[in-house]
Amino acid sequence: MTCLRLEKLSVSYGAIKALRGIDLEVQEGEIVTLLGANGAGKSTTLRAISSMIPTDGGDILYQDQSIKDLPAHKLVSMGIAHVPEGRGVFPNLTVQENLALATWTNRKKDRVRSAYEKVFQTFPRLAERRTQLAGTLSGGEQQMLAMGRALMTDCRLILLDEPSMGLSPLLVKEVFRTLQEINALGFTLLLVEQNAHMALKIAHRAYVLENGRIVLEGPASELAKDPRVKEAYLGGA
Amino acid sequence: MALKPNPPTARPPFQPALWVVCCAVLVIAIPMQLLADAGFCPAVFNPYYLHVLTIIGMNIILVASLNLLNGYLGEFALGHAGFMAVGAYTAAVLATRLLPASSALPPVIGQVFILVVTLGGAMLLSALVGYVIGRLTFKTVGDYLAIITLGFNMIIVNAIQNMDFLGGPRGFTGIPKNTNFIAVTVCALLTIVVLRNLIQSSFGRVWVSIRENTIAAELMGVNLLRTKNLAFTIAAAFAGLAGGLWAQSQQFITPRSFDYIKTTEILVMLYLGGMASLSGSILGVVAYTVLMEVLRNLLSAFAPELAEWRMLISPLILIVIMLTRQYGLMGHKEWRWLRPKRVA
Repeated sequence: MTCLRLEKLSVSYGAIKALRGIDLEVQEGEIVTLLGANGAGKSTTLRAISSMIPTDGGDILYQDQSIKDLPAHKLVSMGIAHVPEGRGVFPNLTVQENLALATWTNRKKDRVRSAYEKVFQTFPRLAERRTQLAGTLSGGEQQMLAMGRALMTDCRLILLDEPSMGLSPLLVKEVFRTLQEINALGFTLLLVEQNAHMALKIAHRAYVLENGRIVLEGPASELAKDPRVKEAYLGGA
Repeated sequence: MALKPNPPTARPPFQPALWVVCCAVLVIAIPMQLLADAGFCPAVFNPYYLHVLTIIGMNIILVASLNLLNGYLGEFALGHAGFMAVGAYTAAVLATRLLPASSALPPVIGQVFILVVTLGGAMLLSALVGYVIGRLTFKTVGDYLAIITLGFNMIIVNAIQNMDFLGGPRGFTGIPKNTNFIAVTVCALLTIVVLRNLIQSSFGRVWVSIRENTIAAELMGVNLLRTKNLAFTIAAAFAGLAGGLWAQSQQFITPRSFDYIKTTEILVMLYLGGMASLSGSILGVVAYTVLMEVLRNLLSAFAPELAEWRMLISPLILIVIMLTRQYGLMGHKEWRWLRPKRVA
C-alpha cells in the first residue's frame, strides 16, 4: 500500500526553483532514502511534505489523500513526524519534557504510557537521562531524543533530515542501526542523507536528486552498484 | 528492567510550600488593613506603607503576566499598559454604575460582590480585546510583533482619549474606592498561583518549546497561532485585572497614565527581576517600587529641585541590567516554593 506519493511536486524560493516537478513514492513499511549533493533539494522535499514551506505545483498524497494544503500542525495528528535537520531539541527542557511535548496532539493516558515504553525500550539511554536538560546531552543523544520524540507522536511515517550529521563514525553506525530497529517496529521511513554509503545499506529503495530533479531511482542494492552513483556519492569505484 | 516512566500530567503536583507562603502573606495582610481602617496606625502599619504595598501588588500582577509572554513564550510584546487601560476603564464604568446597588447590600459582602463583578468584567473585556489583537498580531514575530503591539497600545489610549463618556483626556473621576490592600493581595496571590500552575502544565511546556525552537514545536503538532494567542489572551486578562484594581484604588484615571511609558515601566521591572521566572517578577517589582519610593522621599527631603530627576533612574536601571546582568536578578531561576517538582 502506498504511504506517501509526490506527484510532479515543485517548490521555489522566490525566483529560484528548488524542486522541478519530482515524483516519489514510499510504500508502507519501507525505508526510502533520498540522496543528493548540497542544494539538490533534499531538505526542501521534506519541508514541503510537512507544510513548512509553500509548494508551487503538483500534489502530495498521504494514504491516498491530498495533504498539500493542510497546515503543519495538522499533519502530526495524521501520522507524519518530521525529525528536522540539526535535531531541534528544546535545550532548556528535560529529556522527559521533550518527549512529553510530542504527545501534545493525543494525550490519552494509555497511549502516552505505551509510547514512553516504546521509546525507552528503543533508546535505553534516554531513560537514564530522563531528568537531564536536553541541551546538556551529547550530539548522539540529542539525535536519539529527536527520533524518540518522533516515535512519541502517533505517527506511521517518519521524515528524517540528515540524522547522521555531525556525529562520529561510531555513532553514525548506531543511528543507522536504530533506524532499522524503528523500521522493524512498523514505522515507514523517508530518509534524507549525505552519507550515501550507509543510507543505501539500510534502505529498501532510493532516489537520487540533482538540481531539483530525480535523476535515478531503484532498489537500494542496485543503486549501490550503479557506476554513476558510485562515482558521485560513494567515492569512486 | 521494566521501566515505569511517570508521564508528566496536565496538573502540577501538590506543593505545600506554596500554600504556606500564600497563607502567611494573607495572615499579615488582613490585620494590617483592618487595623488601618480602625484608625490604629502604629509606625509599621501607616497608610503610606499600605499604599506602597498596594502598588507592589498591582505591579506584580502586571509584571508576572507580561513575563508569560516575554519570558516563557519568548515573544516581545510591548502593549501591556493598553490592556491595563481597557481593564481600568471597564472597572471604572461598572463601579460607578453599580454604586447605588452597592449601598443596598450589606457592607463586606457588598464590597466583595462589587469587586468580583467589576474585576471580572475588566478581565473579560481585556481578554476579548487581547484575543482579537493577538489574532491579528501573531502572524508576525520578533521586531514586527513588538511594533504592532506598541501600535495597539497607542490606539487604545488615543481611542479612550476621544471617548467623551469616558471623560476623554480629562480622565474619569468619581470612581468609588472599592479596592483595599487585602483585595490587591488576594488578587496578586491568585495571579501568581494561576500563572505558576499554567506554566507547569502541558500548556506551559508548549509555550517554552515555542521559545526554544519554533519549528520543532510546530513539527510536534502545536498550532502556533492558537497557543500563542492563548498566552496573549491570558496575559491581557491579568493586565485588565491590575487595571481594574488600579482604577478602584486611585479613584481617578486618565488615558495618559496607560501610555507606552507605563509599558516601559512594566518592562523595566520585568527585566530587573529576570525573564521566565515568577520569583524574579516578584523580586523585580519589590526592588523597583521600593527604590522609587525611597528616592522620592530622599529627594523631596534633601533636594526638592531634583525631584523630577527620579524618572531618570528607571531607564538607567534598564541600561545597567542589560550591560551587566542580562538575566536580571532571578532569570530562569525560581524560589523553592515556586519551583516545579520535576517529574522523574
